[in-house]
Parts: sequence; C-alpha cells; structure tokens
Amino acid sequence: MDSSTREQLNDNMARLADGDRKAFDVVYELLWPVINSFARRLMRAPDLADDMAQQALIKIFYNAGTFEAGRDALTWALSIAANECRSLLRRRSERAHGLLSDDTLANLISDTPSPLEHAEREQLKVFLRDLLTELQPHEAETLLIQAWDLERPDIPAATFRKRVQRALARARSLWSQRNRAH
Amino acid sequence: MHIDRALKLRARRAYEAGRLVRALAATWPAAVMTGLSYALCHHPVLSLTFGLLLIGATTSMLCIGRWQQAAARTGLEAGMLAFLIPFTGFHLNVDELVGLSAAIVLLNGGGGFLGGLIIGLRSRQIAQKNQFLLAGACVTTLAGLLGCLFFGYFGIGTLLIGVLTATAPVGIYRWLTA
Repeated sequence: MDSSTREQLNDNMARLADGDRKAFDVVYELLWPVINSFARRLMRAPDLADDMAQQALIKIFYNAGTFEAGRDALTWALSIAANECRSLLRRRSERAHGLLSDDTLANLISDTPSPLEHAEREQLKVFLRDLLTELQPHEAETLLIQAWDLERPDIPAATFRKRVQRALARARSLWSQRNRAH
Repeated sequence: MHIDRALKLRARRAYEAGRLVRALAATWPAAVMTGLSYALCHHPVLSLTFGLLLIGATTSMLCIGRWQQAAARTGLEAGMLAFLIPFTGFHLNVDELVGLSAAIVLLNGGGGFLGGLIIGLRSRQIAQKNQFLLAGACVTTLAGLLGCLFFGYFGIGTLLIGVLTATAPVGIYRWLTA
C-alpha cells in the first residue's frame, strides 16, 4: 500500500470512527485486499486463510469506533488481524489436541466407527494433511493408512496400533511446535 | 461477488453492533442516576420515565456519532453536575439552612445553569454549534430532572429555567449573527 493510499485509509478510518458512515465503503475497499493477503501469508491452507481474513475484517469493523485519529490505520488493523489469527490458531490447536487424544485414538482404531467417530476421522484428515509434509515418510504412510482406512501392511494388529500411536505422538509434538512458532 | 456483498454486509453489521455496545456501555452514569432517583425519590414513575428517555437519547446519539456523540458526552457530564447538586443538597438538608424556596432556586436552578454553561462553552469547539447546544441541553436537562424530582414539580421548573438561561441567549445570539 503506497503512502497516499495509506493516508486515504487513515483519513477515512478516522471519519468512520467518528461515525461518518460514508467512509465505510472506502475503508472496506482499502482494507479487505490487505487483510486477505495478510491472512494468506500467515496461513498455509487457503480455506483457513479465507476464514481468518473474514473473521479479522469483522473484528476490525466491530472495533472501528475505538480507532483514534492520528494513529496509523493499517498498523492498527493488522494488529487486530494478527490477534485474530493467533486466537484462531490456538482454537485449532486445542481442537487438534482433542482429536489426537488417547480416547479419540482408541475410537479411530476400533473397527465399527460411530457417526461421531466418523466426523472426528474426517477432521483428523484435515489436520493430517497439514502435518504429513513434516513427518517421516513411514510415519506419514502409517497415519494415511489409518485415516483413510487403506489396506494395512501384513503385520500383527498390535504392532500396527503401536506404529499409529508413535506416529500420532510425533504429529502431536510437531503440531505443538508449529503453534508455538506462530 | 455475492460473497463479497455478504461479507460487506456482515462487516457493516459488525460496525453498527460495535457502536451500539460501546454506546450502551458509555451510558452507565445515566443508568446509575436513574437507579438512584428511582430508588430514593418519591416519584418513581417519573424517575423511570426520565431515566429511560435519558438512556435512550444518549445511546442513540452515541451510536450516530459525529457532533451528536460529542453532544451526548458533554450533555451527560454536565447532566451529572445538574443531577448531583440537587441530589446532594436534598440529602444534606440544605433547605433547612436557607429555606425551601431558596434551596430549590439555588440547587436546581444553579445546577441547570452550570450544566447549560458547560454545554455553551463546549459548543464553541463544534462546527454545528446550535445543534450541539440543543442536543446537549436536552441530555443535561433529562439528567438534571432525575435530581430535581426530589424537590417536586417546582424543582423541575427551576431546572428548566436554569438550563434555558444559560443556553438560550447563546443559541439565539448565534442564530441572529449567523
């Protein structure tokens, strides 16, 4: 965003904070592309980035009345977006920990999944897709077989269960590391 | 395009919701004054009516923003003064010291005059001076009424005279010289 556009945003944001609804369209047109590309840089998955960008934009407009004239509107908006991104990642991380819990694991390994287990399995697939690139190939393969219910290798069931547990433990630790890095 | 329009609508709703929530939070002095007047005054129906009018007017003006928001804030500040002077005076039994009529004129009229003066002085900094003066005076009057009710209808009358004495000449002068 060049300096004249930034000035325009500052001016319109101050007017919007003061209650001038005519400034709404301009602020929206200027902020949305910036927030969208900011979210895409932070989040790898495009659908998550879209979600994050939309939530951040809503939050920015919710707080628009608190914007103080004289501040830099872009910095202010991006700090709200970054906060929103952090909380979204935290919520996802909490969900992921729930998904990777021992109970869930036991459910996943059982032969007749309930509708809830099926839903959790579907969610697990999404999380795994993100993590697979960071795992060792044999760990990724084990988790893929488990999640997509593919043909299991010719080994005892208990051994396979142990492999799944080890791979999940590593995935859990990678997930924690990734979230700490964010 | 459709998603964009829907998002824009959501953003607009979020903006209005944010303003409304903040406006409601900012009217807490009006709620406190209403509560005190309702609980302690012997005209509970009038207290509640003036209080709800005050809360409604202040919230709407704060939601709208611009000079209306400034008028609501200033009116509420000045109104707190116009409320507290008769409220405190009544509970300190000032009427026993100076007599009832003098106390009513001093406390209600004086409180209203001071409140009006604050609005008049602040209106110099606003572009829409007379609109600000009128809106601010209305909020101050409503807040002051909650305190003046302790002195009955005579108290209400003197408050109105006090506010008008401070604001009307300023407004008329500006209107004539504009």
